Amino acid sequence: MSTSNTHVVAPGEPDVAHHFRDAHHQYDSNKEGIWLFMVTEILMFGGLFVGYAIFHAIYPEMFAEGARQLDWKMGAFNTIVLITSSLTMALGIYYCQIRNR
Amino acid sequence: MSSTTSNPNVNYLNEFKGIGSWLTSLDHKRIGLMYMIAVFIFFLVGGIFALLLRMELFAPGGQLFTPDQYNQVMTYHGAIMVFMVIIPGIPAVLGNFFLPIHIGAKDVAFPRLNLLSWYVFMFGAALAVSTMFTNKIDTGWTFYTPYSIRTNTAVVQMVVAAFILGFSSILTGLNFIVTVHKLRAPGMSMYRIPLFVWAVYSTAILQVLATPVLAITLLLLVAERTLGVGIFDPKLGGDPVLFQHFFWFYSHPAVYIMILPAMGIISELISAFSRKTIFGYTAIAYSSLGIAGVSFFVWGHHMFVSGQSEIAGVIFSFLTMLVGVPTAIKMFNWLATMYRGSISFDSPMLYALGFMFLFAIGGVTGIMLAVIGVDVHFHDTYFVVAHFHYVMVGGTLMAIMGGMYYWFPKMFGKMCNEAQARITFVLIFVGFNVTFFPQFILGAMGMPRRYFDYIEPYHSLNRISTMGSWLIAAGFFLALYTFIRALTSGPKAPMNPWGAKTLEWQTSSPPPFHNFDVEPVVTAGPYEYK
Repeated sequence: MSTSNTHVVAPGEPDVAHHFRDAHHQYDSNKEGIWLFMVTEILMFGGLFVGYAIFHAIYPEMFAEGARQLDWKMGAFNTIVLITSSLTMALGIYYCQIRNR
Repeated sequence: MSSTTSNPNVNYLNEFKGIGSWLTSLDHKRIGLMYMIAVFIFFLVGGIFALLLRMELFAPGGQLFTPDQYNQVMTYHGAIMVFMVIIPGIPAVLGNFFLPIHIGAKDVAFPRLNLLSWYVFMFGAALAVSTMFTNKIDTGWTFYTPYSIRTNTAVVQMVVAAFILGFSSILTGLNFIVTVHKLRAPGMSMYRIPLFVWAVYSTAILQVLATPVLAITLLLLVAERTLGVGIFDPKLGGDPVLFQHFFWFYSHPAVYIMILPAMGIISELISAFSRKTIFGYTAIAYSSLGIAGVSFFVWGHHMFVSGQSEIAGVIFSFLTMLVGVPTAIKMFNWLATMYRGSISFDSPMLYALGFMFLFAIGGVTGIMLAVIGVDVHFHDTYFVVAHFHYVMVGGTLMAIMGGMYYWFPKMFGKMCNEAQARITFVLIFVGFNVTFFPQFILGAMGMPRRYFDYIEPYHSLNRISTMGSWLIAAGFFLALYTFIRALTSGPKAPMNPWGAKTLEWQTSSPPPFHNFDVEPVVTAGPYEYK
């Protein structure tokens, strides 16, 4: 709990919680945590993909018919928006890290 | 920090005061206790439902309920006991409290996430329980399609609640994996962590890998109910057996989420009360991982009669029997640990022995049910009900009780009344067998499960079973009395009342806020009794 943490945080130094040895230890643990979280996301969407694959195999002509109803321009626009948003987020984090050092 | 080292009377219970300091606490010990209170309350609710079910089955014909009400009570008994009692029971309560202390850490890796998972749990539980007062569901805890698509009850709300409870479970598991990897004290190698930690660690892997699949299954079910997408309902072109595949892909590993940490507690108890180094430490540790691994490939044994192919049935049957191997490794290692040890029959040890006796019956009948020919006969009979109650109640609940009596002095700094604890054991152990052994016979006689009524030949055994449930209830109420008496007027517990060797007994009872006044440096294994 932060109230009992007597360690004074110097400006620019990341705040290290009381149960970690140092900032590096904390960073390492956080990284492992977020990777594990990514694994759970992959598994969750994995279930969705399995469902997709099964129904694609059962009703291929229905999926082809459905695909014909889609508008490729909207799809392309959607893809571009998604990719640029991911890119700007990744770049944002990258520049944050650079500045911290 | 400095106050705890100077004053031995300050501990995690009294360092900060007021209800607000509990509800915002990031301390794993306090969060463990908050989980404990919640789980105890849900256990009481689920238990009352169980007693009502047994009352209904006391005699043929309607006793208390209409058939619809019986289905609802059965659903809530199952859903509450599975999602809110047994799954969080050991990891979130005892695991939260003791896993960091066992490895010499000050806290879990992500204390805020830990608190969040408690709030997520409480929110999901509130959502689930609130359906009782609006539109009671009657699908059973498994939400099998297509009935769960078509029934006119609060399935969506209940399923969303189970989804949320699942996320709490994922967050706890994630926290524990990182904690075990990253926060071990100096000298605490992976082969020096107590076997309870190995068991909870294996459980955490299951929680992280299996629960997301349940999450997507439940979301698909909600999508089908609200949007009418045909996924599981054959009327809309869906496949109801696909739901069973998805559901058991989570829910069979979930069975091991329930039993693995129980086995971890038993390893601690057997070693501590035999005053002997555990026999086959690595074998027990790896058998936990082995059970976790195999558990992902056995889900098909729930579906032997659901129309899966014969070859799939044979493979699942074989893989299911494989689970018996790591389980038996544990059993024989516990027996070998006890051999020529100086055994003391304190109450936690009684529960450990009760576990071994009842779990052996539950496990061996599990192997029987893995045989396809036998299962076709026993499927959906009381034989299955008796089998999984022997594993879940005779196994997990016995271990929870043993763990509670074992760790109560550490958690609260007070000793329980030993005589009452032993009487409780006798009541629960005898009551359990009186309740569930007749159900094996009833199942073999062909009595189907989930029915609100039965024919006359099943009457006498059902009556015995119901009477047994009263004994169990008496046992648990006595346990509650023992705990409350110990809290209010129990004698002060010493640092290490059982003379055990693991790290939690090397700090004061109850532990200080940071668990250890000086960070421990580990130079030996957890069970060096000689």
